Amino acid sequence: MDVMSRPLVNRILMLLLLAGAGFGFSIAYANAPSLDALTANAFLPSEAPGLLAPIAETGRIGWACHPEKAAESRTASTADLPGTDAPALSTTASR
Amino acid sequence: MSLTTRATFACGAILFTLYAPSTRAQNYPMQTPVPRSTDVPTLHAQAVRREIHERFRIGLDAEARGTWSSAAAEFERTVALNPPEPQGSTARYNLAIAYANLGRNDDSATQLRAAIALDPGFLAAMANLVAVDLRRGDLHGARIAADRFVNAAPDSARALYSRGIVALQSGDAQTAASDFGRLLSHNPQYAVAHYDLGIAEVRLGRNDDAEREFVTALALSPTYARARLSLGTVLLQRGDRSEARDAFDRAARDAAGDPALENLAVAMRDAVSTTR
Repeated sequence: MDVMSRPLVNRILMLLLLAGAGFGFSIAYANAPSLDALTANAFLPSEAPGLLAPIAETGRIGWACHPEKAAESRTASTADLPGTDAPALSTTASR
Repeated sequence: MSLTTRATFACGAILFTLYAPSTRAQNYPMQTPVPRSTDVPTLHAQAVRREIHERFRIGLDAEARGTWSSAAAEFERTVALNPPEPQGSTARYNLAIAYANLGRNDDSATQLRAAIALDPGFLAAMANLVAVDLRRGDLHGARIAADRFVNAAPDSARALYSRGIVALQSGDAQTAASDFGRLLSHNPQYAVAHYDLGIAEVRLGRNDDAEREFVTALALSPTYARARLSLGTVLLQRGDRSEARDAFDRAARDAAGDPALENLAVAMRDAVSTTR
């Protein structure tokens, strides 16, 4: 039985490794997101507003009804709106 | 004793007699009599009122603790008792919050619409209906609710913000630009509105206006990563690759608490670095 010489085996292994690396690189390159696709994701609106808090039995009329005041307010800082780095305030606000 | 002195004493005595009781002793109102009845419908109505009151108290406590299933059960029972206004619309509003937190957004929207039908001026219910419709992905319903909200409260910051977001999500950049512009007229320091106005300007093809809004947002909030990312993208589209790369790099650092945004910023920075 003929035995392949060691240099030949090494060359074949090297070729196989190079082919594998090339294949992997081509797969990675093909799957890399294009700049155009990334750009489309960059222009997304900010978060939707969160839910306003529950209201007591006496209803929405009155100075103490925080959710109704927040809904009515013309000032963003008292309207329970999203901030620049935090999600919208949720149902933890006072009622 | 002279006649004048006698007359003075007499007048004093008369005045004392007239005013003394009210100055010497404080008057208390009569106790309100406790309503007593053996009439069955009257007793039933009293019991229902008491049950509504107690279920409101227990339901609100449950919502404060975040035990939404318990809260939903209390307000479902309250609604079933058909309470008068304002309890009827308020119970539905609170039930909608419990449902939304249980992921039952369709049921939540139904309750909020019922609350608004009972109380057509209920702004908080309109605000929450927009938010819930957006969660459901119902942009048409959200737009109807947002239009109603803006019509009911034209200067409300939340109404303008809500409709602006709905408009952006549904491709109506013109309405979004108008609403965020109006919001900024009363709130020029609100960085998020500058950012969203910038997004609307990009979609209207006015990149110079968009860039100005992103720069303003960043002047108000220098670590606003999303605005930095959008600014970098506008710069990239203009051909300023180096400035764009710096913006993406800074956005990646500022977005450390938001993995999705951080990954996007890193990918854009790397894409700019490798693309020529």
